[in-house]
Amino acid sequence: MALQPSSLLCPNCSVPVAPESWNAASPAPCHWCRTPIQVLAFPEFFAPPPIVAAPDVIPGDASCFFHPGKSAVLPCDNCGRFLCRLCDIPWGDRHYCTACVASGQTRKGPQAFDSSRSNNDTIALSIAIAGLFGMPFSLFLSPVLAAPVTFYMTLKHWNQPPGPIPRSKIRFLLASVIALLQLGLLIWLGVYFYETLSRIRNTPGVTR
Amino acid sequence: MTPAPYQRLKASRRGLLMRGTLWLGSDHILSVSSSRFRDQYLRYYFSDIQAFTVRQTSQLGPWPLVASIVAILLPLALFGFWAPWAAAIFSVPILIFVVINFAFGPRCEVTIITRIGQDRLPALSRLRQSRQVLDYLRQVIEAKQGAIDIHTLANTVAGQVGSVTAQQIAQNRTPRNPSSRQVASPRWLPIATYAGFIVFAALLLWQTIAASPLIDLASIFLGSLLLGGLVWILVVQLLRSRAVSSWLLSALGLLTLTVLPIYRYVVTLIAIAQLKTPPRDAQMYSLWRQHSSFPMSLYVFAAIAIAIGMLGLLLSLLYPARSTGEAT
Repeated sequence: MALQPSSLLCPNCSVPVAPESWNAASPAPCHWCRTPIQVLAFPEFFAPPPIVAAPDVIPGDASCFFHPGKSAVLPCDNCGRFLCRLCDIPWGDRHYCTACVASGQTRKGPQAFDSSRSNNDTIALSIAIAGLFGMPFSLFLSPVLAAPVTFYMTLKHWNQPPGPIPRSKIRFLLASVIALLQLGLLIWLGVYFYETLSRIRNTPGVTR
Repeated sequence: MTPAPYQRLKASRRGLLMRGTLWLGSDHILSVSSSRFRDQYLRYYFSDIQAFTVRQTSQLGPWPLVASIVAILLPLALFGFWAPWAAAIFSVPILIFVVINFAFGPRCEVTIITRIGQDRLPALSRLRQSRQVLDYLRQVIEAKQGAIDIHTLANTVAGQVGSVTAQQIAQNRTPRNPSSRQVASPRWLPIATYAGFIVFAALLLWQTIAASPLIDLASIFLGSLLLGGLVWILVVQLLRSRAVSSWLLSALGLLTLTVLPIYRYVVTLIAIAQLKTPPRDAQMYSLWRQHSSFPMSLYVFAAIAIAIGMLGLLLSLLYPARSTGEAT
């Protein structure tokens, strides 16, 4: 059954959205709660849902991999298994089986199925910055942990396949520069303290 | 498989931790909600989109209001005790934040409706920006689905919605209280405010032990924040709650926070009047500390603040609806 306009409710007061709000140029107040609402509807809203029925297999014809009793209509574009109309998942202009979509979401298959993705560059940059700002609170030793972790993450994920949306490598570069600075600062501090201690030890009159 | 090329739409919402963007693919929209370290993708094919709903929300939410009150009251609280730049350090960034918030225009919530459900689009949060993006998306989706006949739509909607609304209102069943979501405060606000009172009392007591201008500044800043929070809580309570005990407690909190700086200001003015030469900024702080009533007045205000904080926390935890204005 197609959706009815009365089934679209005002999110504030649960009364059907006022007729003035439908495909209006600007939000119109709800009849009940006066909250300004605008609805932008398309023909699909009123269209009846498509009825998907898979015909039974004819002897000698190809059958579905998942439903042997149903006739195959096309192969999966990723794994090549024959699929019936029920098992076919159209994905843009391509067709996949449920197994390929599921494996794609666990990052073993096509990246077009990515439903989420870790931003390893942001994680590396955050670790580098945390290491930098943590120096005064950790006796200047935070780079000992932060810098190697930053370098490891940068090297490990530098060549990772790109996600669906473009993302530059500037964060990885910045993280590496900050980690290098931290290491440089750590080495300089070490040398400075060593020299100072040596000077104090060599000062006449100072005993160990 | 090469990733689908996407065109970025002029729709983004940037928060401290959350971010939302909207991308246009060849045959679908990609909504990206990001928690900085992880992106989540939702794809909506043009042929599946049934409708968008845009709900205009209040521009003057609790944050800009509290921020405005703090920005206005802070210079007043600091007047006479600190140099003008000290007040500007706090007030100017807050005011800039408030002005920018207003410049972006009213806020809204945009929901996308498909055959299997509804999802909010986190990237669209401002009305002006949403209108531009949805106008563009309408052309793209109509190119795929065809345009809707506006006259048929008007007749269908008017016929069905009009009758259903009248029927529902006559039977008085579905509609919720219309003001239930218009004036309300987040649940954490009263709890944070009353917990802040206990911290404020601790800072007052600390001042009697250590003569540190930094602690003094911290207590003034916290006091201003609490004042902003209490004003908001009181406004919500006056409009939405009938619990007199909650009103009284908020009003007493406001009174305490207002009387303390006034008392301090008067004491300092009297001390200045008794001086032969005009004092410097640093001297103002010592004038207050040297006054005979200094430790005792702070003890009294700290005790009142602790009592208000404890009672307020108790009431906020036991009866959250009284402070937040939520429908019970």
